[in-house]
Amino acid sequence: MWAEIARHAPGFDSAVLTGVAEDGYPFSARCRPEIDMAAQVLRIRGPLPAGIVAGPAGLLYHRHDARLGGLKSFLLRGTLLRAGDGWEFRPMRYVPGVGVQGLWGYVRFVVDGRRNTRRYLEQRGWPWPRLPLEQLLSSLGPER
Amino acid sequence: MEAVFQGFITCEFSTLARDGTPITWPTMPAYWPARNQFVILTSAGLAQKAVNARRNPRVALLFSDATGSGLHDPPSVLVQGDAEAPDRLLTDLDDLDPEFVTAATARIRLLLERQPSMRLYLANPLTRRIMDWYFIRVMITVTPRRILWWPGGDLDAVPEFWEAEAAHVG
Repeated sequence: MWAEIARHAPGFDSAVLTGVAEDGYPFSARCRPEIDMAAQVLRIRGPLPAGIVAGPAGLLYHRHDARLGGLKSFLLRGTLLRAGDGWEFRPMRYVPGVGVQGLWGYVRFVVDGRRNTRRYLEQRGWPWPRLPLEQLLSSLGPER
Repeated sequence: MEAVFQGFITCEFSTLARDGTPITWPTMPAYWPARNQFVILTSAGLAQKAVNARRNPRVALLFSDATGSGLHDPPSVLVQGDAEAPDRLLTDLDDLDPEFVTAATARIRLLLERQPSMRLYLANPLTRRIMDWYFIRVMITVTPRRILWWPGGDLDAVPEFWEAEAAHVG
């Protein structure tokens, strides 16, 4: 997990930290984590909104360009802890998103997506639906 | 606020896993102003967020990445709300509220304008066959409970807020 974090995290200016607020709703804020390989944590300096409390948390790294191209993302699941005046995030699981596994990642995205869809339908006893993609295309009008 | 909801391409959408860990992924929501709701159409092959929302409807959307929005110095906006994710597929546009179809079609048109490759996927029979699963969609609707925003994205500042029950701006 730390090899992937060290490889990919420096390519992002910031990340989105999500914890759970006292009322049970997720609470997210953008932050700038710093990797501390020796301590195996990501340190979060600077302000975090008051709604964020220590406990189960996630750290999402993602980016896209102005045309929604160049997608890249991965998620860390872990725990958020108070550390002096700041916070530290202790990751427990690395979950790849898009654009971080090369060509193999895209193949897996398609294969896993189809398999997950089939499983979702089978669990409910639903047939593979016929999609109105032509209708969708025509409703969108001509390419501009 | 509506300029952020309409203009941002993506938001960070959080649901809660069975063990209570928040799971956040970038998502392209459609804002439905007439109902003050957000709608996310997630692929059935990526439906864990819908499954999570059925188990625990407390969710959040953070609008913090203005890339491609054309907005200058927008606020960071956090929407905390209650999700509904009916266990059914959206396979026919006739299934949908016409008002929503209008809002969603505008959103999809924006996506296709920005990502011409997506239109190619739809138009080409081979890629349509390979990627058909991606277009099998499940709908998640989020009704805001609380909205917090930080002008200029300054998290040092005390956020402005709106709450559904009190329905006031702080």
